[in-house]
Amino acid sequence: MSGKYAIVLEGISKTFERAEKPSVYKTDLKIEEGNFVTILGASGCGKTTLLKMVNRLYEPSSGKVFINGEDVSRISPTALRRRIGYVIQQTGLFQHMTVEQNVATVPEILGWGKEKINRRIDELLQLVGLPPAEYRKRYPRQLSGGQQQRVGLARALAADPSIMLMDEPFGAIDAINRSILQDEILRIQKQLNKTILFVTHDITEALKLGDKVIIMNEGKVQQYDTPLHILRHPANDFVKSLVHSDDLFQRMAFVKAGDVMNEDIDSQKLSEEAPESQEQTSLRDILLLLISSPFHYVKIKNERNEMVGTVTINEIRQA
Amino acid sequence: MIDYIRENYLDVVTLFLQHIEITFFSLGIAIVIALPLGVLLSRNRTAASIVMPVLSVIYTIPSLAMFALLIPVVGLGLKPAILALVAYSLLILVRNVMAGFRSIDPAILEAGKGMGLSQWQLFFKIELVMALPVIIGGVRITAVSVIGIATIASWINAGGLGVILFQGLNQSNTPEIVWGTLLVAGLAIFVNYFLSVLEAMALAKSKGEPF
Repeated sequence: MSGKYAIVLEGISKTFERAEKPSVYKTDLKIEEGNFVTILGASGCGKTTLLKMVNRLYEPSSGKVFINGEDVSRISPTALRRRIGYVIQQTGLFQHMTVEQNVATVPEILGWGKEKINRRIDELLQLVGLPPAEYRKRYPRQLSGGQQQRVGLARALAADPSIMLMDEPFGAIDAINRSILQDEILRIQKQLNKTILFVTHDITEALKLGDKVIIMNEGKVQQYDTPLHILRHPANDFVKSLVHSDDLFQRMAFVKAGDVMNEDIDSQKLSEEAPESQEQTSLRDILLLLISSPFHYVKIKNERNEMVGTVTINEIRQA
Repeated sequence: MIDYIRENYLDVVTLFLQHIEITFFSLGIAIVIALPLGVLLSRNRTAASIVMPVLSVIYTIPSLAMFALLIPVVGLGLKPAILALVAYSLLILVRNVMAGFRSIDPAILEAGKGMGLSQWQLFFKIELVMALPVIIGGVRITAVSVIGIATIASWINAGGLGVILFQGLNQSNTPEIVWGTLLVAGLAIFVNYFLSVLEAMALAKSKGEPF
């Protein structure tokens, strides 16, 4: 078992008691370290079951699960779970505890010192965008749904797990805040380089967040690939109809400028006034910039604000 | 009226304390039984469907009949009184303990389990705090009914305020009837108030609200 993979599933099946069909059927998966992987599927497709077998909330009927090369059946469930961050849709925040007490739960169980826990709480609340001075002493009911999920995220990150399992974490949050939280989790993942397994039934969310996307149906993985590859080459009719890969405009929403830009550029020749955008911007937005400007190209900058390429209508066509 | 107390205050205080003693021990024993039993039954519906009807049947036995039934088994005095009161208390206590634990948001339990809390940590840090207001509510209702039924226990020589009340009834002594009634009612009202304050505090705590 090479250490490169954070999570490995080998021939995993799960049939619940009194169920006719298996929820997950003979599934093999390898999740690379530091990857953000989304699991997409309708309810009842087995995606949550799959997720819960990683931290042994469910035990597989057959097959093996490894995290960082270790067989999880050889680790006690509580010890295993303390090493894996877990975030669920309804947040599951402890209502009778303040934000800081919620976040401190696992570090306290692990016996960290007071000082260390205190510093960690401040650090985490800062990370998820809740100023500690204002939020530490609040109770969950004094927070909005979005803020509660930020606390849920901070709590899951508390003991600095290398792997995070997230079960439709933004499913109950309104569209505006969901989009904000999606951007935040992307930023956090980049910053901390966690391996994230993220269950969702929202196609847009799955394609936006995932470095790779697992598409599941009837207990089986239909396709496991990068969003771009799934859109360009859907493995079967199910995937095709799910992601509307025929819809060019839909597809453009998930292709990032950085994926297709022309990197062979001479910055001197580009006009000061030409429109600019970021590598992460979708081609749909790039197209809008193109049609609303007199220039035939959009300049693309990276995170350090350096010019790294251009996108013209030609690049968009190729996507 | 006042004369009665002035002449008999030693007896009255003794009987009053006895009444509190009977109530306290019955309730205490019942809670010690009901808490683990309720937790167990809240997790096992089959067991609950067997035990709860039994407790219901016990609850419907008239108290005088229950005391009489216990005399050949354990004799007269405090023992049968406490035994009967414990038996009566179990239904409401167990039912509330079960309701308390079942009312916990499953998402909270899943999150706790998923974070790696052991069963004991989950129970004492989370579940008990969440279930406590409903449990205390059960204790409050039970305490009031135990205080009432304990009056009748004086028939089997268990003592308590029933002694004054029934003596008064037998001898048509109005001050005794009135004082017996007032003291039992006063005790019940006070205990009810005290426990409802505790209940409100536990509720505020479980919801993360200031009290």
